[in-house]
Amino acid sequence: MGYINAIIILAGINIIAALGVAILTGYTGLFSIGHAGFMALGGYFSAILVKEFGVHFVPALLAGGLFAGLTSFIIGYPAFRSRLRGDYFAIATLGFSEAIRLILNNTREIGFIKTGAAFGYMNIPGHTNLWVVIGAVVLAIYFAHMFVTSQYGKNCIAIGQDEVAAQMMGVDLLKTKLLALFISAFYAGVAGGLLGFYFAYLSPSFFTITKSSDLLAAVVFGGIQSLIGPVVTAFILIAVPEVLRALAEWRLIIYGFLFVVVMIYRPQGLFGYVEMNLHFARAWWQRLRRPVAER
Amino acid sequence: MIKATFSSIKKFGLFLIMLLLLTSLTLTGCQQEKVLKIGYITEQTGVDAYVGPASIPALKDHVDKINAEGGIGGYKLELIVYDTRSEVTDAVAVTKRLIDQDKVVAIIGPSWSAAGIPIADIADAAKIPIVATTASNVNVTVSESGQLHPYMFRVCFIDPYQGYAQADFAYNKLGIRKAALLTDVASPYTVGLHQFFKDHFTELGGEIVAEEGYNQGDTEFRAQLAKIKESGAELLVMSAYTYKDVGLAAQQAEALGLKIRFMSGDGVFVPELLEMAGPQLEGAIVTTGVSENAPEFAEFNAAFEAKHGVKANVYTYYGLDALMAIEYAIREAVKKGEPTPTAIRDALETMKDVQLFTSKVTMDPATHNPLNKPLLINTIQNSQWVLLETFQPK
Repeated sequence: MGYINAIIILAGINIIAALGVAILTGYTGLFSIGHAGFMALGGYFSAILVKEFGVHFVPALLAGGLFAGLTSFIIGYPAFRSRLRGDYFAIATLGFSEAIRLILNNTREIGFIKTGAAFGYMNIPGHTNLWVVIGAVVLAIYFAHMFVTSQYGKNCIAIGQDEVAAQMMGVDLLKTKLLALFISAFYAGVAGGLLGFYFAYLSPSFFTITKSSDLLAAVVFGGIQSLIGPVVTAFILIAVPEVLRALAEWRLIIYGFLFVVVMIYRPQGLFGYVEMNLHFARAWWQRLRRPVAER
Repeated sequence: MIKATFSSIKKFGLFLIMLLLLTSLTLTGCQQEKVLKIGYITEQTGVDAYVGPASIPALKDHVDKINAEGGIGGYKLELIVYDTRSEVTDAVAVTKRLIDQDKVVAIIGPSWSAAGIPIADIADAAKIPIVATTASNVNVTVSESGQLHPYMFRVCFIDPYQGYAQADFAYNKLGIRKAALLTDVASPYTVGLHQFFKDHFTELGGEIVAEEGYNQGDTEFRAQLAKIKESGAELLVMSAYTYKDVGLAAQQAEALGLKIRFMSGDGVFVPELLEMAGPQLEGAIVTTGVSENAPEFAEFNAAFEAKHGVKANVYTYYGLDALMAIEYAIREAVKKGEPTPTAIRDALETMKDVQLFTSKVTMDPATHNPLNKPLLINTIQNSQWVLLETFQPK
């Protein structure tokens, strides 16, 4: 129940959700300010499975992710069919996530399941601990890396760079975009599930637009077309306000100031276009092995 | 590309080292002998940022006063204040920080129920008593399945009680038969209060003619107000959590030509409401646990405003109530031996007629709610709070 544990767990959950946004925004170039909605869907779904149906929490987390992924088609299909792009798609996701939050706020019960509306869904079994989160983060990074380096991932990057050119090359825009949205909603859903199992409580008020914009900020701040960037910044965005806690209300001003500075001096983000790999370690190792005179 | 990676990694490494240094700065607190730390979880930023500035100086003053008098049984008190950004995640994180790193013996706060509910579990697991200030949802101290959280307390009355009293007053004293509800569906506080109002009001024979909803942060209420106008309601119950909602609704009701009496709960009982919509809210009923207009606080208010440049509000008083409850518990624990968190908890549970800042309080051992908190029924006249009557619990 330690404090450092709490920070690492919250940061880990943030990292998983941010990886999802990275795949959609960082690679495919589709801006989403509605990922909190997918987190809410995944969180409530997996919490209900565990609490009401006694499902083990690991399959429940995956089911929550899957559920969020499937619901993403509700918005993804019409939006991509009508070629909604850029700001328009962002607004559509915003509307979607706000709608989910409002529905949850107004739903006292689904059948016999008391989701509690604004009171929140209480007494969720607390399964999330440090090791679960670390395991989930490692798996999430691994699969995200596999995806973006695969053919599908390259298709996504192509769409992110230039949609028309990608189509000319034979990339199926609709399918690829839906896939990117599905995976990113899956990640958000799993993150939402972990959050619920950590707090043992879920409330619609967790999933506001602030949460969505924090995730988007992690990706933009961390760097477009990079996985390591969002991972590092999702962690920093949780850690910095905690480190600066001694400064009370000033800390949020510093936090905002950091943002402005980075965006002015590194508009591509901290790790823009830098892929997660160990090349730098290899280069370092080779440099060390070289005779001193050559260095 | 590799070179670019390298330099950015180096820069980033530097940044990380700086972060670590900063952290270590905040972590190295030298352990002094005989200091009892008390945590305070409050809102200095975010939507509820008006809670912290009005309460922190008061709590600090009180702690200074205790220390100047020699502390409690040789123990000096230290108050550690953390901001929550008005977010549940932050409230949970700082609670763990207070328990884990600062090793507090008791915690004051939080002020809202959505944070109080997850925090209650933390209190139980860590065995550190927490006294919530204004988290009034039933489930803060007693879980949904009816189990008492042994380490969670509060110093405010609960929603059912206030909703009941409001309905009683509206029906019996104001003679109202038709009421409308305008509910912030995102706020457990508002939803709870309105539910209990509705239950008792209809039980008495009244009728709820309109039930409208809005969402936290909404600023536009004209659509709902128009429907309420059509419904012929005599009373608009809007026990919002933030005063801005009521202020805006009152301004818009006036613009629509809707002349209706407002009724609200203690969430909006702050002087800012009068500045915002005093004339529009003439005759409104606001129930609360304490009133800053009560003559017994006049001296305190004047001194507080003169010293800190901030007006005292209900959060000041509830914060002081919580602190004084903990102070009492520490005194009791010291009398019996060591003031351990468990001893403090035991003393809190068995509080009986203890004079706190606002009133005498007896803690109900079965629910950890204060038993004999009076409810004040106020109205607004000439943009001033006027106390109508005091509702004494049976």
